[in-house]
Amino acid sequence: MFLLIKNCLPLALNAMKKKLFLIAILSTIIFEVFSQNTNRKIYFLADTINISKPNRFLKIETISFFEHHFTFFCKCTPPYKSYTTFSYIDRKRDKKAEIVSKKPNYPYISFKELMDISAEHNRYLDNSYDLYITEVLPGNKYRTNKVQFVPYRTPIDDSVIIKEKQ
Amino acid sequence: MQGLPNLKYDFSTQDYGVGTTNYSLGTTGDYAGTSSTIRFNTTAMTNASQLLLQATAIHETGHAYANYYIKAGQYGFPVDTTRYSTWAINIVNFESVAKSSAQGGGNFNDHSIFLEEYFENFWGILKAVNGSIYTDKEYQMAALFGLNNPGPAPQSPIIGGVNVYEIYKGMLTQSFNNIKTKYGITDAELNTFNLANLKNVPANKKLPTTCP
Repeated sequence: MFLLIKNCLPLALNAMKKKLFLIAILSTIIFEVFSQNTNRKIYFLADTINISKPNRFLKIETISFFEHHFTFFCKCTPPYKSYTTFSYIDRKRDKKAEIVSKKPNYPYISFKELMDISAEHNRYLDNSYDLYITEVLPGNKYRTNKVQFVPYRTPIDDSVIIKEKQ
Repeated sequence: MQGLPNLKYDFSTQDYGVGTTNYSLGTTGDYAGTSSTIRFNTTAMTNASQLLLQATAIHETGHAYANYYIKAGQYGFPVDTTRYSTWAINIVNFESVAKSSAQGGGNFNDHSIFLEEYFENFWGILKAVNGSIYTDKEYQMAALFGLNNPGPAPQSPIIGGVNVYEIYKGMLTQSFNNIKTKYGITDAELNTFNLANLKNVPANKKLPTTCP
């Protein structure tokens, strides 16, 4: 059956394009409405190199091809069901963040401050702040990228309400 | 962009008529980029009919692919239908999609799409798998499972004073009713069908309990 689904389902989904495109347009409008140019720049130093593994409060990983996640092990943002996560997208054609040998002299905020700001603004954090995360790389190297808040996505539940007596 | 999403199929405990009139068959979540996890309701696996479980496999995979297409678009690498496959949709210019659609989306988006553009294929797959075991109307009612469910409202459904979620819900209900009208399915028939396929299902209509 799964083979059949594999062959038939995507064909059927071809027609989704138009609808998804409409969603994209709507989303873009929403995004533009909320976007501001007066964001405050904040910086955070993400160090997983010099912290022993049991004491690390974040992990840095690449998910799905080009998307890089900074996942903080704290369910600090509504609805408190997933770890607070920031991401940036880095594709081949994108300008690469420069890797430097000296720790950039940014006014880094603390983990506490980052979580406080995240808890307050959560999915709208990017409307008020431009968050830059400086990643500590092996060999005393550093790389800084602008990241965005990754909002929690509610799982899709598929159910029906049935009437037991008709 | 090459590569398909990683889809994980798993199980979890969900509502199934105990202390509720809600019967859940599956859920899709744990989104990580283009990938996601589909979970069948453990209770449903031993209680629901095979037909509804088949419909669930198609339905949830549909949700997972919708997420994949949107994410691929966000990455600026819409799935190239001519190069990589004949089946994937080619979402144009999704690079500028704000997080809001992917995050605020869900049942009310996906179900609307399923109903309007996918429904014929949906029950067609069920018929292709099962042949003449069931009637066309049974396939159609199985495919309809949960498609009128808009899911919970997003955190901020009000955009510019307009409740976008309510609009989506209205569109979804209309699409669902159109399908019912098209195939001559009444609410009572659908309820009877769901009841018969969720509760007290004969053993020969459920999944086998032993490996053949």
